[in-house]
Amino acid sequence: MPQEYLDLKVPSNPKLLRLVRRTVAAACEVMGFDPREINAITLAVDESCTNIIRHCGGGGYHGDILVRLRMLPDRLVVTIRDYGGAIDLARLNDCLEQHRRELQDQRSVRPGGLGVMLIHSVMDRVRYRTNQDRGTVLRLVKYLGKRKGD
Amino acid sequence: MEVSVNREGELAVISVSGDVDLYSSPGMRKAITAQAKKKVPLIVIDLEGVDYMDSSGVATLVEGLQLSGRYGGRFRIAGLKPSVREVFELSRLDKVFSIFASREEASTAG
Repeated sequence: MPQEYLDLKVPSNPKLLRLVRRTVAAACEVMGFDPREINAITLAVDESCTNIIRHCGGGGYHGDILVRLRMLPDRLVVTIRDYGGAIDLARLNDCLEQHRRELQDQRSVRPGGLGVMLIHSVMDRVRYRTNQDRGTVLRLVKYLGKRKGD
Repeated sequence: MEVSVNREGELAVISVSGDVDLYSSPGMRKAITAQAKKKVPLIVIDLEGVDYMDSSGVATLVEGLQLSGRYGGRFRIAGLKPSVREVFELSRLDKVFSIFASREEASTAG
C-alpha cells in the first residue's frame, strides 16, 4: 500500500504555530474528517507543539520540531518529535490528574495541564516515548468516522 | 490577533479577533490585566472575531475571571464561534464562565 505522509520541520517558534495548524487542518480535510474533528485534531497538535516550546529543556527548547502526518485509510497518525531531552512521564501524568482535580473544584487552572488534558480528550490514542539523548516522540492517533468513546 | 478596548463607565469591552494561541495570548492577557487593575466592575470579552483558541487563551481568560473576582467584579465572555466553544467544552470550563451570545447581551444582562 503506498504511503501517504507529510513531514513538517519547524523551529520551535510560537509565531509558526499557525503554519502548523493550517497544514494539519488541510491534511485532515483531505482525509475526510468533519469540521469538528478537524478543529479538535488541529488543537491537539497545536497543544503538543506548544508544550514542547514551553517546557522542553527547562527554560525553552530552541531546536526544531518535526511533525509527521501519516494519512492511512482509516486513521491519521501524527508523530511529533523534539530533541529537548527526556520528559518526566510520571510528572506529566501527575499534572494531568492534578488538572482534573482542579477542574472538579474549579480552582486555578494551569495552562500546561489544560493542554495535556485537551490532547487526551480529543485523540483516540496518545503515546509518549522519551529519551534524554534522542528526545521525545509523541504519537497521536485519530480514527476516521469514530466518535471518542466508541 | 488584534485586541481593542472600549471603556464606558463601569463597563469595559475587550474585543479580540484572529487566532489566540501561545504567540498571541500575551496581548489579550495584557488588555485584561490592565482593566482588572483598574477594578472595572464589568469586563466583557468579545470573542466574535476569534476563529481559534488554544489552552493558553483559555487559561488567560481563567486568569481574568480570577483577577476580577478578587475585587468583586464581573467577567463575561461573548460571541463564541462553535470552534471556540468546543475548546471550552473540552476543557470542561464552559460552566465556569458566564457565556453570552453577544457583547450587547453580556453588557446589559443583570
